[in-house]
Amino acid sequence: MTGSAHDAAAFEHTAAAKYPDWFFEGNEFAWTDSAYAVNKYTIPVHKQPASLDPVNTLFDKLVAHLRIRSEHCMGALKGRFQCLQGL
Amino acid sequence: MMAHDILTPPEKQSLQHVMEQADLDISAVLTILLTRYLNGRHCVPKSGNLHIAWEYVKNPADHHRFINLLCVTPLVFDTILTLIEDHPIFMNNSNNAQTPVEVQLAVMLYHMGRYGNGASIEEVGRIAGCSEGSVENYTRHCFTAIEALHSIFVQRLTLAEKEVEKQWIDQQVGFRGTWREGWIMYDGTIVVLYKKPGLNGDAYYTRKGNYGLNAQVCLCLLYCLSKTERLP
Repeated sequence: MTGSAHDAAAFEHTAAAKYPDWFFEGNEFAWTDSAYAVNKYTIPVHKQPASLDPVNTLFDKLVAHLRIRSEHCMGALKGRFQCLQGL
Repeated sequence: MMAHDILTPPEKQSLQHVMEQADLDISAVLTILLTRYLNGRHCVPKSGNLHIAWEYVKNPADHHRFINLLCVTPLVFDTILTLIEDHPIFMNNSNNAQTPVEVQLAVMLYHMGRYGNGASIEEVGRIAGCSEGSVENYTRHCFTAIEALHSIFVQRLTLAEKEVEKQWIDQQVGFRGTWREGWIMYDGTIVVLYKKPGLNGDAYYTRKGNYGLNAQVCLCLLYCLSKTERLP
């Protein structure tokens, strides 16, 4: 997608979003960050004001333990190969 | 051609004939330009020092220098080399063999590890002791060989692998139940373009103030990068 597309809009064009029955089996879903929409296949963290609820804050905190790996993965690539600097 | 014009002046010829003659002349000049150097060419002095990487490998105390130079550890370097060295792009039907694959890979990794004017082909060629065109060729060869491995490294997880992922999530998050079905994560990243595209340039303007493409990356938690989806 072009760069102006929001993450949620770009996700609509991936194979996972177009053919969810092929990609996800049973109740499977993907963890995403707050930029994505919440539905059967993508579970984002809460946005404000819902994230202010202490129960939701705890949920978000636990999901963050998983999400950090995704952020670290791309951060490590961009840090190791400086030709990706600025991405 | 000039003698031809003097002996048979164009103004006395038919238009059709003159045009045919001009086409013939142009194609003759083009053929000469494409197959012959019209001026003498000199040998560009080259003196690289990338071979110092092979010296660094010998002593474990110097391995951090190797990593600083080529961005990977010697073990990873050898692994990539074993995977790609049999690719047909490194073969040619000539008596002059190609540059050894390890040198091509080293130049490519050095190239990948720099940015800005440090990553220009002139700069990399000067360090590697090869011509500017060779830097481009080496990088292209290595990327072609690495992309040929796509189906080995990027594929859907088997059920057993999925189960390992789900068990790991059970331990990692504090809650049980259907949450373990979320064995995959999505994230977006911007692939920056060199400059604003000529066609529909505004559509490429990103929230980070540059022009780029949005790529959606899909990751597993344990098996790391499992599937990338390139978008047009």
